[in-house]
Formats: sequence, C-alpha cells, structure tokens
Amino acid sequence: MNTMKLPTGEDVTQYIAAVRAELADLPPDDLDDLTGGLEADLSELVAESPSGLAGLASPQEYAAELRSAAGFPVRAEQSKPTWWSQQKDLARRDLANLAADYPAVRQARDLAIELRPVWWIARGVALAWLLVIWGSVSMLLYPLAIIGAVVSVYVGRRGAELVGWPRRLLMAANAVAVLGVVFALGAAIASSRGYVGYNNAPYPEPMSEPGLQFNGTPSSNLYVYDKDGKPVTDVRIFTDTGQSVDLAGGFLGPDGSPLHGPADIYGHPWDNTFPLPTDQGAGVDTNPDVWTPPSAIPPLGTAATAASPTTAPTGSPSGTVTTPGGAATTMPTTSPPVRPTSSLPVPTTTN
Amino acid sequence: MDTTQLVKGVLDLAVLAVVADEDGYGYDIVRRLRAAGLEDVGDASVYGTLRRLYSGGALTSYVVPSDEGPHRKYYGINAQGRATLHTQGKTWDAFAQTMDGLLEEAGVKA
Repeated sequence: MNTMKLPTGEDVTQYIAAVRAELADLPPDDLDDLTGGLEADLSELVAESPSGLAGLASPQEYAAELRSAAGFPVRAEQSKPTWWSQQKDLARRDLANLAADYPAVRQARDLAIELRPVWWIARGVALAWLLVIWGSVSMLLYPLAIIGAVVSVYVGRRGAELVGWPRRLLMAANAVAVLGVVFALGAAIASSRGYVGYNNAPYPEPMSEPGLQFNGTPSSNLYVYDKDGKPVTDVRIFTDTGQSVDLAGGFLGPDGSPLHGPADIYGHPWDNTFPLPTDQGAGVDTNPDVWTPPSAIPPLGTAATAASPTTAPTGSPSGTVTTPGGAATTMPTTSPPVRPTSSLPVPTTTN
Repeated sequence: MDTTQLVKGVLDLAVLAVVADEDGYGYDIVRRLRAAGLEDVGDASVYGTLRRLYSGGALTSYVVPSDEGPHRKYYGINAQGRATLHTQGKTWDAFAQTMDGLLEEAGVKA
C-alpha cells in the first residue's frame, strides 16, 4: 500500500499553504510540528479519495480542526496574518537560523539585546528633544529628557505586553524617535563644527535667544549718556540693518496688556525707546546682576571744558570719581572711566 | 447520536491503541482508525491528536524521507504512551460497563 506514488500536486501545496496561513499565529516551531508531514498525508488522502481535493474541508475549517485537536487555543479575532506579519515571521526565523549557524551572529544578537536599555534611553531623550523643538521651550529640555527616558525605559521593559493600538502607538513613537536620534546626531555634529567658526559668523546663529545680546549675555535695557555724561532718555535705537531694537515688545505690563513705548505724534508707539522704564519692570525679572545706572558719568574729553564739577556722579556705587589731585573742582581729561559692574556695554565705547 | 462527538472524547485512546501495534504516519493512522470502524474520524483531528500526544510525551516521532514525494512523519508509542493507554483503557472499560448496565436496565440491550 505504501508503494503508491505520491503526487504532490500544486493544489495540495496551495491548500497546505492556506492552512499554514490560518495557523500563522502559532510559534514557528509549533506550526512546523503541526503541519510537518501534512504534505505526504494529504497527497495520499487526495490520491485515494474519489473526489480528490474537493472532498476536503476549507483550509479555514481544516486548520481549526487541526488546532483544536492539537490543543492550541482558538485563534484570537483580528489577528489574520498580514503580508507584513508574515514577513516578520520569516525574518525572525531567518535570524534564528543565522544565529544557530554562526556564533558571530549569535553574539551580535545577544549584544543588541543587552544594549536595549541604551536605545530606550535614547528614544526617550530624542522624543523629548523633538517635543522641545516643536514647542520651542528650550528651558524644558532637561526635565523633559529625564521624564522621557524614564517613561521610555518603563515602556521598554513592558513593551512585549502591549497589544492593539498601544503597540501601534509604540511603533509610531519608535519610528519618530529613530528620526529624532538621527536629527539630533546631525545637529550635534553641525553645531560642533559651527562652533569653531562662531566668531567669524556674520549673523548670530538662528537658534539663539531672541532679543538683544552683548557678548552672549542677554540685555534687557540700554542706557544712553550724552557727551556731557548726562543720561539721555527717550532715545530710539536702530541696528545697522534698520531694525528697531525692540526690547519691550512681547513683554506684558502690570495690567496684562502688551507693553509699548511712548507714542509719536501720529500715535504710533516706539518700542525701541530707551532706557525702558524700570519701574514697570518691562518684564525683566529682578535680576541682581542688573546694573543701576549712575546719574552721570564723566564727560567726554572734547567736552571737558563744558563739564561742570557739580555733575560728578554721586548715585552710583562705583560712581565716585577719584581724581589724581583729589580735587573735585577740576575734571582732568585723564580721569579713569567709570566701569559699570555688569557686562553691559560702556556707552562711551560705541563705535 | 452524532458519533463524531463520541469519537472526539476517545480519540486519544483510539490513536494510542492503533499506534500500539505498529508505528505509523498520519494518514496511515487515519486509515487504520477508519478500517477499525471509526469512519467519521476527521484526518485533521487525528493529525492534531498525534501532535498533542507527541508533545505530551506519549509518542515518539521521526521523519522518513521519501524519494518519490514529501517526507513522512512517523509516530510510535513509548513507555509513557503505553501507560496512558493502559489507564485510559481501564477508565473506558469501566465507563462502557456502566453504560451497558444502564442500557440493560432500560431494556435496550439484549
């Protein structure tokens, strides 16, 4: 009886492929166990049966019968194998075969598994970084990065338990994080290169803080003195590209409305009018480094004859001018300039 | 009464019984069961049962390559399978006697 020739028709092969597809949710080893030898069995059955393959149940019914008789759980709904899940199964099996055959592959795989926590942390930091860029809240980078890393590690340790839409969400987050890591590395390389030539850069780097800076320190006010060393108020200042130096814009007054400088005769407010009124705060936090401008500074040398000795500074902590002769009645042209205590530009040194 | 339901309950025992004499491959075992009178037995049920008995440790399995077609997967009984066959056979015997007694009382059985 066993000498009968076994025709492995294409029909049988297709039928078994359909049955295996119905069982694709099983672990690959179980699937092979369950369907191993099926080709020979079915070929023989079909050859013996008068109705051939038509006498068999549908692949779905046949797979269900195999599954229940073998004691495997009924397949979960909505887990029909997609093309993608089949590719994943194939890739998984290929990798397992490679790892079995080549120790180097096995070691690389084990190393990758051990390094997974590194990826989890990088993923969390990358997502936080993208969030910071997207929301332009650079000051939140460190807290968000720490939170992101912690959440990412937690999710990573429990990732295998996720099913359904949380799993899809995780996959999407992974894809975004991979892009984020790539961009972050790119940005890090670009900035490390750009930093070398920073001083030669004709323009400040685009991601710098808004507002006015002097030597990298943000300035929230400007004080102007005339040639006699007297403070000048209501000075409207422009840059060499014609932009008004607008420090008040964006700040809110005590009533919550935007703060504006004094209006011109047409009613147009000039937000680049300096010095900004300090009693309004102009949105400036009470920084202890903020300089208290003296009520007067030494007049310029060319104006020395016009200077009155009574205008010697009195209000500034460093405003006491010591003259070599000790006499305050004459202001020598060689008197040392008053240095402000902050890094604000010394008004007399503007070019 | 649908005998397929009855067969399901005793398929383990039936498969062990037909494999106890001689090793066999899947369809061979189906054929033996049908020849013995279990004509309604589904071949997929038998294959699944063989797989379950094998993973439960009651059967051994080996593959015989064939030059003429796909390889055949043979199953054979081992000591654990024989022990299972013995105890399940006793259980079945007692159950069958109980049923016989019931039917005799009902006058169904001659």
